[in-house]
Amino acid sequence: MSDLIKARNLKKHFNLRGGKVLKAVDGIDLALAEGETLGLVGESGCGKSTVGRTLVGLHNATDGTIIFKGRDVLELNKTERREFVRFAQIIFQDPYASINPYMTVGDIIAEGIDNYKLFRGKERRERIYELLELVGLNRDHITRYPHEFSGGQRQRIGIARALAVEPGLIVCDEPISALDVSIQAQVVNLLSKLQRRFGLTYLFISHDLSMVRYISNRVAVMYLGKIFETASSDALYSRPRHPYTRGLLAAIPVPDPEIESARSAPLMEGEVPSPLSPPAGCRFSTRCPKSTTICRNMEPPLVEVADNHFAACHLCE
Amino acid sequence: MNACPYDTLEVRHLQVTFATYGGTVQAVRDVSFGLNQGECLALVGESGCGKTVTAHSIIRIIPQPPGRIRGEIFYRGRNLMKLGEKEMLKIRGAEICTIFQDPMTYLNPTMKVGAQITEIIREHSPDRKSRATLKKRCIEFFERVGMSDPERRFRQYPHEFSGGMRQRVLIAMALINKPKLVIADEPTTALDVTIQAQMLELMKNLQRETRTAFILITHDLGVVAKMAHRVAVVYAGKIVESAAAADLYKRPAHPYTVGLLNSVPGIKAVSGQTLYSIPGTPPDLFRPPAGCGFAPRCPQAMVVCDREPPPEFQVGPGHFSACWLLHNQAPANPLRNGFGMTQGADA
Repeated sequence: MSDLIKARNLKKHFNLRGGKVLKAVDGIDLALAEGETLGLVGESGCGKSTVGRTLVGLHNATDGTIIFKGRDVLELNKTERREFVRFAQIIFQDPYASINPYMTVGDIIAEGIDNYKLFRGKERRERIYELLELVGLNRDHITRYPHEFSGGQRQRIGIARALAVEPGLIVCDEPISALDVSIQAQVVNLLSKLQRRFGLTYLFISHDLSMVRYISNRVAVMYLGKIFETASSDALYSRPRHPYTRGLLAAIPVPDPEIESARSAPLMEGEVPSPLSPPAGCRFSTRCPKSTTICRNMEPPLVEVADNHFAACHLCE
Repeated sequence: MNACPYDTLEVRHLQVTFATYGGTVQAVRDVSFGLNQGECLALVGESGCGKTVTAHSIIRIIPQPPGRIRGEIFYRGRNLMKLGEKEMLKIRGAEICTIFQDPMTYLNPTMKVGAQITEIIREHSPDRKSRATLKKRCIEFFERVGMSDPERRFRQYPHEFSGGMRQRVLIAMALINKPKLVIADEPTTALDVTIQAQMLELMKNLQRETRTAFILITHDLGVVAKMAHRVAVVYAGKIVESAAAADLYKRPAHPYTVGLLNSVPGIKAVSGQTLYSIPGTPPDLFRPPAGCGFAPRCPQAMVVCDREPPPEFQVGPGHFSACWLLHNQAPANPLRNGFGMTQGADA
């Protein structure tokens, strides 16, 4: 498979008051093949949402390139950019904040259709019906308002809105973290079904490692603006190489009291340092149980440690 | 039920309704449970199922009206429903303490953290203590909950703390008066997994050490597996199943519990496979169903399920389930035939 979209040395820095610079994304490489799902995981504040937003053009990258179909997205002209933005859609985390409460469901879904003048009149309505049914809602929901829907249903509206313009890439920014367990599974299954049907490519951002494993072909682990490890999801979960990935996996509570009581204390201590002043050397060295002098002095590059398995750690080479 | 089989807390037939403009919500519909000293009971369920309202009823912080509470809540032999507000003040914060989900709304942003904690000790201590003693207690406790640099932390404001540190403050606040009962309402939901693991470990150790009775409210079955001795599964304002934790995971005896357990992706899950999901959504508690609340979503619902609420059946020692499938006239089904209907390999 060839790469559909590729980010190279992508950086997004935010200038804060008092001359401080928040390096939310600090030089990452990312490639998405057509039709695959790349899971992007990490703790809050690691920059995973910023990556997603920068990729679809909601933020302007500070540095680096985003290559889409052989061309740099950051250098497209206005018309080309409009086409790219149509191609790359996003689904947001909070189903309450991300849809306009004053608009009917039909108008919310049709916003993209109207913007790109895809359908009008009767055809437009038919298209909305089709989208509603596609995401598991009813035709008569078209005239309803968002407050009449539950969180899971609102997330379905968000998905229908993203699908309305026939995109190829959808950035799913924590689409299930605000939902209940039984509803999460419904939404994940819906996303998988749509992917098979339309050949969509997903960047699935989440802090829930167990859900990411279900939906992703490959997973990238982020920490303080850097990618620490990428691998196929089976390899990442069965043979994690980076100490941070191991710590993250060990921290997930297992829904089985017997396994839980046999487990020892968590591996990782402390909290994520402030991204305003990340530690020198390896950014994880302050929390890493195995850190050595070299870790505190030199930043490890992301290298291939096994077939298609990359890790940024001095100790895994 | 005979006179108080539980030594710390017993809730009997709790019903809570709220009058709203849209009608009356039946948030809790006949919930009974109890717990002993040193025990951790988990109330598990989806949002809106009534777990938090149950907790708020115990500490009596539900405004009435619009709320209306019926039933009895016995705390160490005293009926909390009959106590006056003055007596309740002595219990709340001293003997029954709470840890809430969102530490930022629970802490006062305009007061230094140290002052907020010493206030709790001062309010509930019989004799006057000097400032230095209060501070010493507080700093000792900060160390116990794993706070780095406690002297400096004592003088800081909540906004200077990270999410994990704020949660440590809440845990310290809840335990500093050596309560008999702690109610933790989604204590780790807002935290990252790594911080969650630290907090759970801390709470578990403190709970085992002090032999405090714990009510843990959560929707995360992994958290339950780590902390709880017993589990009560709540659905649409009722307890549908209760059992010892190990028993519940191995032999779930209610279709809802089975569905919940199956919809959690295990760590052993394989990518690409379809995740089990419970169809539909929980019922509207403005108009709760006449029969079993889960019947509309239940894959094995029978005619009776829509008509009559199911009684509680005992399926094992200390293991109860409210499901018609367990009735001896129900057709043969996995629940009745020795239950354990978890999908896939069974231990």
